[in-house]
Amino acid sequence: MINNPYLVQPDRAFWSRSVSRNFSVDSLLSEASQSSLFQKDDLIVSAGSCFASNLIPWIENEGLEYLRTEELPSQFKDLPENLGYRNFSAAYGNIYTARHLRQLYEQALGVRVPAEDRWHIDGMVIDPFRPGLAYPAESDAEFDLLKASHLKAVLGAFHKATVFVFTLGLTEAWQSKVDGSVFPACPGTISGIFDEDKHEFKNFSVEEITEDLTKFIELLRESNPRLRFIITVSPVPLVATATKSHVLLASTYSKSVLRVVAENVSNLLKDVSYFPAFEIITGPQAPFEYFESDRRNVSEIGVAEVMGSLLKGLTTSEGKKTNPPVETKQMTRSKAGKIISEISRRIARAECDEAMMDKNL
Amino acid sequence: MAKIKSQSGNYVHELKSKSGKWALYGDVDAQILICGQSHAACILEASNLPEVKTGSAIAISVCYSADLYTAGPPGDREYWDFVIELSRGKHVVIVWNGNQHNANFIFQTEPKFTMLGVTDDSCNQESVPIPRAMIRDIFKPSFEELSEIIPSLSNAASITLMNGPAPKPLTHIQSSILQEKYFTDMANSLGVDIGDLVITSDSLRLELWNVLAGLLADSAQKLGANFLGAPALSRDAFGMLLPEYWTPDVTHANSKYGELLIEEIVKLIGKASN
Repeated sequence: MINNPYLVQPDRAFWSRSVSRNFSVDSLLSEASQSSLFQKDDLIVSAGSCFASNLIPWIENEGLEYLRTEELPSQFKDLPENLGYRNFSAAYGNIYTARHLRQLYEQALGVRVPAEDRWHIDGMVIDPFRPGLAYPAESDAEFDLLKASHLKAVLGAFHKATVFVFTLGLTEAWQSKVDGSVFPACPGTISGIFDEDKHEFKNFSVEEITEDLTKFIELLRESNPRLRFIITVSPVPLVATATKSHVLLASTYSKSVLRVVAENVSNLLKDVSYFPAFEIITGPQAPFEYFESDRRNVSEIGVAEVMGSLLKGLTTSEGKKTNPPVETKQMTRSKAGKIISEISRRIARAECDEAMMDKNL
Repeated sequence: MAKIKSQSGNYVHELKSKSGKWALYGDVDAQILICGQSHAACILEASNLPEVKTGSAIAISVCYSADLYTAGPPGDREYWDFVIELSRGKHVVIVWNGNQHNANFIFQTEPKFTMLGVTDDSCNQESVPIPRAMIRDIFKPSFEELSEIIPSLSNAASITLMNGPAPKPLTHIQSSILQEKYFTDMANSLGVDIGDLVITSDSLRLELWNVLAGLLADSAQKLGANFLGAPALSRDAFGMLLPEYWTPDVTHANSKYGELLIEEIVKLIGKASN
């Protein structure tokens, strides 16, 4: 009998037995992560491309705590916000590249001060790293106050978390020629003014992204040594490329690089798991309906498949499965805020009604 | 508009609006017509004081609720139609709202917030700083009605917008609220012990009030009206309302403050007339 290594491989190692037929999303998960990626008492932080924000309602619906360190009082929550900055643990918005994530954390630690840290435009002081904020500062003093608070919130979230979910989104970015600071969007698109003497295009390599992500994790673990990481690659293709390639080719390159980085870093570092959101949505086995008709945005069905799999097998730290609680801590805080607001409103109204009933009259 | 001389408490009114809900107090021919919400009440009160009645060179009338003891504060369509009817050739002074900061923020929010300009302990590490532009957006809807009201007063000799008095200190607010059964019952009905709620710091309420004053001044400029801020004499070194101008409640100022306002109004109108 001829012996070879494939004979001892499980069914999941064979396309014909695990993709062509009997496909199960669960079988994509590694043995280690199949039990549970989260525990019920985890404090979860996420960052990354817009796909990363899809995670939050699912986490909260499961009764898990999505850590939020930059929440607004309920009175302000109905005001408009751009680009989902406040979707995340702190209001950093989408972080498409590992370099941006690393630089954000370095800024929060105070070891990095970007050369171009603000733009003065039409009487506003714009944060180049959050250029779409609906309410930018109106003075340098206000900018300093808001920025310091934001960076403190970043630090609070990153240091308090027990799980950090990072979705790698892009390899392409725009950066400062002066100090390499990476902007989340090309200056001049959402805000700012593009200046070719100051700004340049950058398409990061596997090596650069691997180093950025590794350094970020190592640096963060100096303050939060037990932090676990879940790395995903966004299945959403590039909206546009700044390279000379067709956007589909550029997108394939970008996702391929990011997928290699995710594999590298999860193999290299302890307690870093890769979660295959990318394969669930884009693999040949994936139903056509996992993308919207633009073949770019992931459909609700696709998101549901990914999130269902990500949150499968939740346990407590004692290993017991639990039911989701009826009310999360965030819901409790929000309810308390609304009641306080209602009491303020009623007092003011009652006093106005009674202004002339004052005993002085 | 019905010409019926009647009385509400010590106050005599000459004219009433269509339904009788709103009334004009004071001389129908007075050059200055005061109108607006509950903070106008201190002017009505002051205008009835004998020393003001005899001392003022320019007569003042006030458009307010006909029944002072049961009617709500002015502000419905009929009220403004009544003011429009009365305004021809008059110097109209609108005391506009002035309680929006209390309506939203008497109690410390969860999480706590602060803003640029706040100087006391509320601006500490635990508070979320809120951009001033965001605060303004919270208050802006309360000024929108002015864009309808002011153009409709085109027959007036002049229009002046006034804001409410500066905030009172936290200690006064705390005792006012705790002593008022209506407030404790209302909080209880919402499942809250009012004594457990923390009053927003003086400095933050003052800064919120400054934002309101700024918005009213902006509205005045945009709509071609004058703006009259709270008299400097009424405020302490920190900017709060001085105790001699307090009513026992959380928000309003007394007749003495009304007297101050009348002086300021007369000065401003006198200047404008010259």
